[in-house]
Amino acid sequence: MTRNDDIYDVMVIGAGFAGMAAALFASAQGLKVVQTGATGGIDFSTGFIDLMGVHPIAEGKRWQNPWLAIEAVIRDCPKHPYGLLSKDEIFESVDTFTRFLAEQGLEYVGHFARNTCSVTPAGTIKRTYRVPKTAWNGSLALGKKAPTLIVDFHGLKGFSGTQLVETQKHHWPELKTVRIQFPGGHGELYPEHMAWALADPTVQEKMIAAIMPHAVDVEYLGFPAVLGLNDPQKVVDHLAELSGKHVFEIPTMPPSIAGPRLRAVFDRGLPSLGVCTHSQKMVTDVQVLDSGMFEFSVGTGAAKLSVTAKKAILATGRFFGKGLQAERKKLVEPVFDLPVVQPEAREQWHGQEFFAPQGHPVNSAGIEVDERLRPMDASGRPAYDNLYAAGAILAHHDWMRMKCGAGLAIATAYKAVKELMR
Amino acid sequence: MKYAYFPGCKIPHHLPEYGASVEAVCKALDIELVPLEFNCCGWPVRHENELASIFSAVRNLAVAEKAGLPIFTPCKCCFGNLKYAQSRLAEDEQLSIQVESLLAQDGLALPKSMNVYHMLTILDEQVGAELLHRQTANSLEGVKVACHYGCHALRPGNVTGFDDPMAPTVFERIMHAIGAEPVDWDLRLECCGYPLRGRDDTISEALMRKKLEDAASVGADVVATACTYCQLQFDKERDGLVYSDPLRKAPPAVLVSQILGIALGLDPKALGLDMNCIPWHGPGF
Amino acid sequence: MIFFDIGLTLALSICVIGIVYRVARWSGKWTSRTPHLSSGFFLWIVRAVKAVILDVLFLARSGRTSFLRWLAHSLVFFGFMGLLLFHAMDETVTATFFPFYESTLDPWQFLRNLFGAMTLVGLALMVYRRVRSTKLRLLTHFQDWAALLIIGCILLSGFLLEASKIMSPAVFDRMTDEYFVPGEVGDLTALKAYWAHEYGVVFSVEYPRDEETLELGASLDEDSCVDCHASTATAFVSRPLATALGPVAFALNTSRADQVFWYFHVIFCFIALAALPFGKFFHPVSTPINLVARQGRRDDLEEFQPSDVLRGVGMDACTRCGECSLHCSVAPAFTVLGNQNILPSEKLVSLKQFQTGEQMSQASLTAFSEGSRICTECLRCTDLCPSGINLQDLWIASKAQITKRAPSPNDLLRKKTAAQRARVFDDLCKSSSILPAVAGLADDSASYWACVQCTTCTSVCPVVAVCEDPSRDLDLLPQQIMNLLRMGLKEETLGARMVWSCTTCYKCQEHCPQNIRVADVLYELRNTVAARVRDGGASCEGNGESL
Repeated sequence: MTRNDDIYDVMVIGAGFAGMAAALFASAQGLKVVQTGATGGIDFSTGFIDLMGVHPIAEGKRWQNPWLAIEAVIRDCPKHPYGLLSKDEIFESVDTFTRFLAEQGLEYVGHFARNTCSVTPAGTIKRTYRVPKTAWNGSLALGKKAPTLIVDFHGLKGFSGTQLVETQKHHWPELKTVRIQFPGGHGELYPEHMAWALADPTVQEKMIAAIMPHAVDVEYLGFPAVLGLNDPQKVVDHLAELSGKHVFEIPTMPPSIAGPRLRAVFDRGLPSLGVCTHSQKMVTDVQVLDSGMFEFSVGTGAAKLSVTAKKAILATGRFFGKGLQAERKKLVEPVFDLPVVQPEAREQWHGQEFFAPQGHPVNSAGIEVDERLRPMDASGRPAYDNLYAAGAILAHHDWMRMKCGAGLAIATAYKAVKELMR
Repeated sequence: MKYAYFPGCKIPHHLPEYGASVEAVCKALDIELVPLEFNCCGWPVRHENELASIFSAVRNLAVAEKAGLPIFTPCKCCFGNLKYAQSRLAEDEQLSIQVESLLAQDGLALPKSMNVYHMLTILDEQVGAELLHRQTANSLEGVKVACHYGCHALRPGNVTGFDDPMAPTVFERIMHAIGAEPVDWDLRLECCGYPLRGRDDTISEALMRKKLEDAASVGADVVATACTYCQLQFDKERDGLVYSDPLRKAPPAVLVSQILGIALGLDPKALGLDMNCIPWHGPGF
Repeated sequence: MIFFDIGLTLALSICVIGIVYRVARWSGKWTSRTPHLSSGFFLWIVRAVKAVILDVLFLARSGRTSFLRWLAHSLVFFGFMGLLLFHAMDETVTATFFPFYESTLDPWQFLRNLFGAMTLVGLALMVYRRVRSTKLRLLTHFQDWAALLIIGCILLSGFLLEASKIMSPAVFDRMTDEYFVPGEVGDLTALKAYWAHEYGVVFSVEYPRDEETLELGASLDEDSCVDCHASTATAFVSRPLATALGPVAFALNTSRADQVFWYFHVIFCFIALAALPFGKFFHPVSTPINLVARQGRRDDLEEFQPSDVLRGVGMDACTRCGECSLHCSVAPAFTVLGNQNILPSEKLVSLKQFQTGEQMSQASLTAFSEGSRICTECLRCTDLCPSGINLQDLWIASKAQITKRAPSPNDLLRKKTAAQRARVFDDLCKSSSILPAVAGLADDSASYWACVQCTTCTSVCPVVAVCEDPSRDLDLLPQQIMNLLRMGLKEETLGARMVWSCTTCYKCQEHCPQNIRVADVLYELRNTVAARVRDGGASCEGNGESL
């Protein structure tokens, strides 16, 4: 793009869950959307869509029913962003989002009023709302405690079949593991390269052939999430056909390919919906024009350009996404310089114990918004009439410990677009 | 539309069909290409020394600015290095001073506005899809095109400003305009591997193989290239494989200017199509 | 004349032996290829004749790039050829066609001066061209000045010879002793008077200039001299020169300057003749041959791939005019790096040395190898070479050979084992006199503070993806290299094949969530090694084996 003198209806700042969702919802409403964002949190995603998993985090109480969990959270933490949304809005948003993913070949499944239990590479159980279909069989196998073989590969870090079995062996006695040589790969292996290799049916056949001797009396085969990058369902189906077993994926430790899969879906899908994307560019400056429209300086160096939009959604994420910057003594929001809700003093950011179950105060820092999801200025009024915020940049929730990240991002993005349209 | 024509070093001897087809297409589209005496863009020498690379690039920008013309180049590596030099000058004042004194030795001044465009950008923004569509005499309907973006125009995005580095669309837009059917392929944005020729031929060939096999797997009829090096890799280097190698049966690589030329109804010979090593049996010729 | 005969025989022998030796070297050490006439014989003749007329006689190729050069060389060519054929070889050439030839008659006297003047003007233009252009001055070496000097000396000595002969009473006396029979006593005086007045002879005494004497002298001149002597007025260079030398005429005459200048003139000619087979002095023989062989072509299409002999002819056809270097596409790289081998005219010198098996130091081989590598084979030098040398073919055909003798850092690395690779560049001087790293990322630890070792760079790398065993095949992975740099361990990364097998696709840099300039850094590591090699890897104390 060397020119961008169009005026957009909405500028989505951020390309994570919230940003992608906002761009999706806004374009579906017929708005002219422009989006910028850089690699950040989404690339380290597990690929699961959490709605609500743990509350209170100090007790580590896990919930089966995410909706009840949400009710409890709103009751106990009135400022939690979920309090600004209705249940219908939350459901609608996740449903629309996953329908889009399904259209792009990345189907997600789950229950309406129940979290799905999924096993992690360490053998612990994660409760999440929507899992990729390629991981679904894993939840089924877990539920049934079915005879399952976890396939591990020499040289793949961030995944350990042995660890998995060790952790689960008392609850799931018929869980076995085997570590084999990855066909065509030796030494240190990385998930993305393995996934590319496994898109090739010949490689799949070789792998199954190496596994079958160990899989005689199992019903399920579990793999680290390396079963193809852009069309994992196809690979899973073919492996199931070759082996005669049910096949599922388990996300590896980050960086797993769940992130690239999601990103690829949006890279393919959003431009065809008419969204103008500026990947790997961040907003460096914003000017408010007389008309109230925003003029953003996007990108750096010779490829800098300016983008004008009537409204904007700030979905820049937290620290890894660069939505919040931690300076020596305080946290700042770098795009609009909005006030950041944060602990009063630097010393109060973290508790004494790193692994304390209640987490750390700094992990609930962020932007405060009004009931229409507009960020507020120091006086408690919306900083701009036409600026909205969504996702992890919002304050008052520790998404990592509450296990509500993706769901909250998608739902607040949905709401922001809805409010924006009014 | 008048531009200073920057073909780059690899067209005259190594890929004359690119020069022939670009000139033919530009003539048909009323794009005036003015030949100036440029030097090498500096991309190959960047492995040896960065200043040599940057000075080489900036010298071209200075020559073009002296003639008052923006640069038009069909090679993505040339485009990439010219943009790279531009971005380095913008971020490093010391470097600017160094380059300025080198330029002075040749009687040139440090360029101020450095306007460089790759051919695809010109076709997309200056010519436009509508005009291309109107001038299409020979629609490429039914021809499945795997658009190969390659690397050096796309990345790094904050240096080249060519298109979205993760989700580019310019190439497909042009193909749509002439009636062709761009297909989605996984390795669309991957490197062709040519930079490794003469340095690590094994990996270079492996990269080439992956790309072409991927294009074949999605049923593409042709792999469209818009860079001298990419075409050299997919056409000339592929031709070096043994006759029995199945990769020779993978979709032929054809330059975007050749594809465009056919759509515009130009003579295949004028487009150098007989010089392609892996022939394209396209529509109507 | 014994001196003349001995001198000529000596010069001619050196010349002939030299030519034979030169021609024998034309087969060189290329991987041989049989030439084939792709077109019929008749067509070949037609093209050859066309080449002779256009390229050899009219220097059509020179005119394409520089009018000044075309003018200068045409003047020198036609001037010198004229002198050579009609003056130097007058007994064999001119006298055969013109039985009444005398060197002092017109048009020969006039032509001699004309050709001489043309050549001098051409030479002056050539000197001016080389002095005016800074780059060309840099590329002008000993033999270039020597060639201009020797021709200049021949011409100047020739003019001085003619001038001194014009002035010389001794020469006059010799002629009158042999050819003049005075009828009466005052006849000789009258003749002398006339010759002093009309022909420019400077006698030691002043002869009468009255009309009667001159008239008598004129008629005597008419009877005895005019058949062989035209008025020296047509010697439009030598005569004014003689006049200008008037003040010292007496000294010149008494010291028999005419004989002195004769010796000088003849000796300079012999030197030039003997020098003909050496260096660029040979081009009057080799360049026309090359132009005819090239048949007017300016490209290097495969069907005309030259035989080894023609390659040898081509290499010898270089006149060192420097046009190729002035227009070379990678000349800016020379400006920065200073390696003359980057420029075609100098690279050709190294190539000749290389091909003929001459001893070359490791440093010159390395420089030649770098020049060979940097050449982008853009065809421009070949297109505009006035001598029609198929430079492109020479460059491409020699690349593999020179790389073997003086490998690039990349080539060298590939031959080592893993353990050796870790240390392969250790022997290079880490001196500070290398061209400063322009971006300085690799040494700037701030470049890496943000790296969280997320392995995204490695995950997206296509080179890692095609390796069956990345650690084994690439030694280090991208994020491992970043980690080493973060720890200040740059030296440990230089020998890793990942650095040298990077395909520069920039995916790592594009995808890095922390904006680390991974690909730029890898470039810098390569540049670091290249700079150390260039700075004199051989001059350091280390085994010469490293490079």
